[in-house]
Amino acid sequence: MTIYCPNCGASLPDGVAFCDSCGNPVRGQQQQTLVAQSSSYGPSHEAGTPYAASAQGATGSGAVSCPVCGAAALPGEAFCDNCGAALLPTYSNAPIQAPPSTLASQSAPVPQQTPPWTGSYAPAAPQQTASLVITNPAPPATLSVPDRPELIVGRSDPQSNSYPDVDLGPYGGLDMGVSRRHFRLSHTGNQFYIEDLNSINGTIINGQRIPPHNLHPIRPGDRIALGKMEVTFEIG
Amino acid sequence: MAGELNVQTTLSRSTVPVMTVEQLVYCLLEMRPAEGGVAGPALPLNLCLALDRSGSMKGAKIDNLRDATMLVLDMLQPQDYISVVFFSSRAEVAFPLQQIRDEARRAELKSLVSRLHADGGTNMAAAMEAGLIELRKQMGAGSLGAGNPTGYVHRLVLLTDGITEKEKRCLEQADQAAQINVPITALGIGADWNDKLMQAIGVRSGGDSDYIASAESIRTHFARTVQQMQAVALQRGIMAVRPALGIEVRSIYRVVPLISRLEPARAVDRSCSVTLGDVDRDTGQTLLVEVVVPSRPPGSYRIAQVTVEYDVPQSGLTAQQTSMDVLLEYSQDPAAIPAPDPRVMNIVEKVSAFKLQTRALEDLEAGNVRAATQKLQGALTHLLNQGDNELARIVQNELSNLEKGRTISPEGRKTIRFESGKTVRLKKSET
Repeated sequence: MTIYCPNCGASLPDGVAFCDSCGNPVRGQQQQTLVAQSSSYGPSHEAGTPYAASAQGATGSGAVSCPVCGAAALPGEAFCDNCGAALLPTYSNAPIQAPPSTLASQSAPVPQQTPPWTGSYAPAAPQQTASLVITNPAPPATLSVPDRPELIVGRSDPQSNSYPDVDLGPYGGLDMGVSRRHFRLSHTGNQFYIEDLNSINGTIINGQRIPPHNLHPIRPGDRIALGKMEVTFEIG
Repeated sequence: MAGELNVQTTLSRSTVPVMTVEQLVYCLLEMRPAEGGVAGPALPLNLCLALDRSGSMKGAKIDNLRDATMLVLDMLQPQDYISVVFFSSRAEVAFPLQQIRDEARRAELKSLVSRLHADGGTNMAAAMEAGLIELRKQMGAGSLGAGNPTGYVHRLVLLTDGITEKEKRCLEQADQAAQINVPITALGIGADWNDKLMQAIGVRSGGDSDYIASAESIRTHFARTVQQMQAVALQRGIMAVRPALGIEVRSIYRVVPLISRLEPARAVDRSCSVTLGDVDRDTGQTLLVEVVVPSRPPGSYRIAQVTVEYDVPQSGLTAQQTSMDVLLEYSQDPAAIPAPDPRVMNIVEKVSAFKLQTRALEDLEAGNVRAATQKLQGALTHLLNQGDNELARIVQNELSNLEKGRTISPEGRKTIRFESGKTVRLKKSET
């Protein structure tokens, strides 16, 4: 029996676990037989991923940039192609891991001689201070971001015992539509990410609304809207 | 039956965070012939040495070349075929392709080699043409019958110390060699040969290239080439990776036995395939694939299917296949995101050092000293981190040459070009 991928509509032999075309899981899902909508065929498979960033381009126009030379890179890239700077944190004491079983082949495992990962001494990105500059409402105010792997930005609310790490309450956060826990700010090295925490009014970066619970890389100068409040992200 | 080759894939991260943008994932693909999976003696060799005897080879170089050629004759087995072509202003076949059936024949061939003397110019293209004519005599004579190049391990070994005439013709010959499955080992000795040309000949023919710094090392290089040929277990290897829709294979690097960038053939169905050629029974081959994955909701996805195809000449099997899925998990839980696999990251760092050195040489060629300096400085830190102190020292010397005179030495350029593909750990523990 032929089944159809619920994501992209490709026809597949019965019993397959993943779609041959888009790689989405098929097993355990509602298998659709001959009822796939024509609109779900072909490249529109990304309808299921509303914020797919194909427009970002795969090469040459990376979503992040090297903190040392500014060359474009992609999240997950280990070293800058232009200057060699380490783009991920150092893993000097990371334990040697066995390959995950889900990734191993059906063949017997290849004997391994694992050299220790001694960490990277690549040109270290200078650790700089990040800040959020409130541009609306006036007057502008600069809030420095504590140096932590991740922190919460929102507005304080003593009644619900909510005290975010960066508090926008004193700047009119409540009236402007800032949630108590609006977004999470995290970083690896000098690359910062924002994750909207399902805030009521959402988070809009440079005019683009980001989906909740998705990491979104940000660069210095990016404009972030939390409801009616606007802040600019800065480093250094 | 396809049990002759073990294939294993390891991702830099088995789980990635759900993001709004594309991310990069590294996939290490290790292929090794199964222990006991490929039975039988070593495959017979079909070898031609095309050797420069131009005037500039006079002295230690020609003496050592003579010795090294004799060593090759001593290493061959009765089933192997060998031919030697000398070249100066023109090519001359010292002896045509033949087997060394007995000691008398071996002594006779050695006496032909002993007459090797240096004079004249450098016409390498003619020697390549003559060498390929010799090797063609034993094409299609293997265990798999006429027309099939497998069954014999073919190789043309090229050695020169000078700038050759007709470089374009040399590259055409390299392409011809690739078409008939003859990899070329292109070796340069001394400081005055075109390292870019020799590297291109190696790459385009599916072979390799190297820099011989001293005449005494010719023996080592020749012996290593013969040993590598004798270790071949599988032939006509091809690796194809078929990414799922929305996934892009950004680049593929071979990392074992040597680091080099491969140019995949891209098909309409998004498949990228690269030629593996002969696969060694001890080290096999390892590739590093850079995969760009799109934004996806949480869940487990097949991002690619990998298929490796090969012939097993000892068993008379052709087009055997091993396939597997590469799965990636997307998660919104930060605690579920593992640290990158240290073994994969080690290789990624080696490849990064290689890329930086290769691109630094390109920058220098384009006259961009500043960009080249930046890349070599980046490479230097990786080399020190990887414990490749010898190459790090050379890179450091060339960085000070760049600072003083805005150029690097010919020897330094050759060392960086050919040594960057061999890093200490790959040499000592992974091969």
